[in-house]
Amino acid sequence: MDKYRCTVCGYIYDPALGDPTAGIPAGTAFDKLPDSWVCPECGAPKDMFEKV
Amino acid sequence: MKIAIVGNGICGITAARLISENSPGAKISIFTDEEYNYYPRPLLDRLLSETMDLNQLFPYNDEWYKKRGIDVFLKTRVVEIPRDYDKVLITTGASPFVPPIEGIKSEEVFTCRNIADVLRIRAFARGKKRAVVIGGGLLGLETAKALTDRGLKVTVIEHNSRLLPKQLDEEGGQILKSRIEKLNIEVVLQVTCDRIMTEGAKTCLLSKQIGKLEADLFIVSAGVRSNIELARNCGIGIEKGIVVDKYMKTSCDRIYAAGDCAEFNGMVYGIIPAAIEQGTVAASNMIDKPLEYKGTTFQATLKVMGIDLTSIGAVNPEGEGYETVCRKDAPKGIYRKCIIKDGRLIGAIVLGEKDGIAGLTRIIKEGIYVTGNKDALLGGEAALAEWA
Repeated sequence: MDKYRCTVCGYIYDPALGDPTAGIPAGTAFDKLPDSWVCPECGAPKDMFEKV
Repeated sequence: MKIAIVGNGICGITAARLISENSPGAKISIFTDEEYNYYPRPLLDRLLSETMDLNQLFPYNDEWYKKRGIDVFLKTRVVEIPRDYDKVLITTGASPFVPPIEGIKSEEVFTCRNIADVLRIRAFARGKKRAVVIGGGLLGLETAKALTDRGLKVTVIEHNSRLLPKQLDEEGGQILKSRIEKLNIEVVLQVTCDRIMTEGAKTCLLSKQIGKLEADLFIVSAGVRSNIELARNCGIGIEKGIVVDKYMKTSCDRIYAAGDCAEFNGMVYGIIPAAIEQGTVAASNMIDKPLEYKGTTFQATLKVMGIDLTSIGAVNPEGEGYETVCRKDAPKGIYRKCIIKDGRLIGAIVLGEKDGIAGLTRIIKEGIYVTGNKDALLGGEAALAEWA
C-alpha cells in the first residue's frame, strides 16, 4: 500500500502503521481514510497529501 | 482574472492552489523574497539535523505550477501593491522576534525561520560543541533536538516557569521537562537572557539569574511578529497584524490578507491550521464565492522524535467556572488533561500518548456537550465514541 506525505508539514501517512491519534488501525489504505481525517501533526485536510 | 499573491508559505500556496482549481483560467502570480519555491516549514528541523536533504523539501515541481497557471517570482521583495492585478492577497507571514538585547546581533547568534537561516546555522555549527537555545516554545525545543542530533550539547533557557508556556500547564510542563532532559538536552527555567558578550575567543550569554553561560552558538526562538511593512507602506489598516474582516478582506478594496501576517478579531494566530483555513477563505472570496471565516481552534503538536505532545484549544483559561479532569503517570511520562466549561470541552493536553487526539479535537471544534462520565475524555478514540 502507498505512503502519502503531507505537503504542509512533511508528516508521512504509512498504512502499515495507521494513525493511532485518530483510532485508524494499521493496514488502512490512504484512500480508505474517512474524508474528515486530517494530518495528525498539522491539521491539514486529506487533499493536501500526495503519494510518496 | 489576474491575481497576485505576496508570499509563498503554506497560506499563499493553499490560496493559489484553490484559486487555480476553482477558477480555471485565472492567472496567478506569486511573489516571494526567498530564493526557493514553496516548502513545508515544519521540515526545517530535519534540514538542520541533516536527516533530510535540501532537494527533498519541495513537494511541488515546476510542472505543478505550470499546470495550474501559477507563475512564481523568486527573490522578489514586494514593496508596493502590485498594479495590473484584479485582486491581491498578502501572505507575507511572520519573522522571528529578536528582543533588543545588547550583543544580540553578534555573529554567533541566529534565528531559524527559513532555509537560508538553517543553511547558515549548519555551516557555522560544523565542528562546534555547545549551543544555547533562547526560548522553550515549540520551535525552540524542535531546534534544540535537531542541534543535539548534530552532536552539539544544547541548553534551552526559558524565562517562564515551564516549557511551552502557551500549550501546557505547570504539571504538564514538569513532565515534558524530564522527557526533554532524557534526550540529553539541558533545560533551565525562569532565566532571562540579558546580554550576549564576547570575551576574546569566547562568547557568553549573561543572565542575572545564573550568571555566564558560554556557548559556540545561540539560537533566538522567542516567538514571531507579523510581517506588516508592505501593508503599512500602502496605508492598509494594521494593528499587530494586517487587520482583516471575516472575508479576509483588508481595509483596502480588492486587497486580502491571510495567515501569520493577518489579524482577525484582535488575534494573530500564527499556527498552520489557521494559515490553511484563512488561505481557503481568502481564495474563495477572491473568486467571488463568499465564504466566512469563523476563527480557528488552537492546536499544536510538538515534533520531537520520541515525545508525543498535542495541545488543543484553551489549556490555561483565566477566571473561574472551569472543570478539569486529569490523568497523570509521571514515571511513564503520561499526562492528559481536559478542560470543560459550561458543559463543553474547551481544551485538552495529551502528553505521552497519541490515542484520542482526533476525537478530542472534533469534540472541541464542534462544541459538543460532554455530559455523562467525563473521565472517558481521558481515554482513547474508543472511549470518546460516547460523544460521536
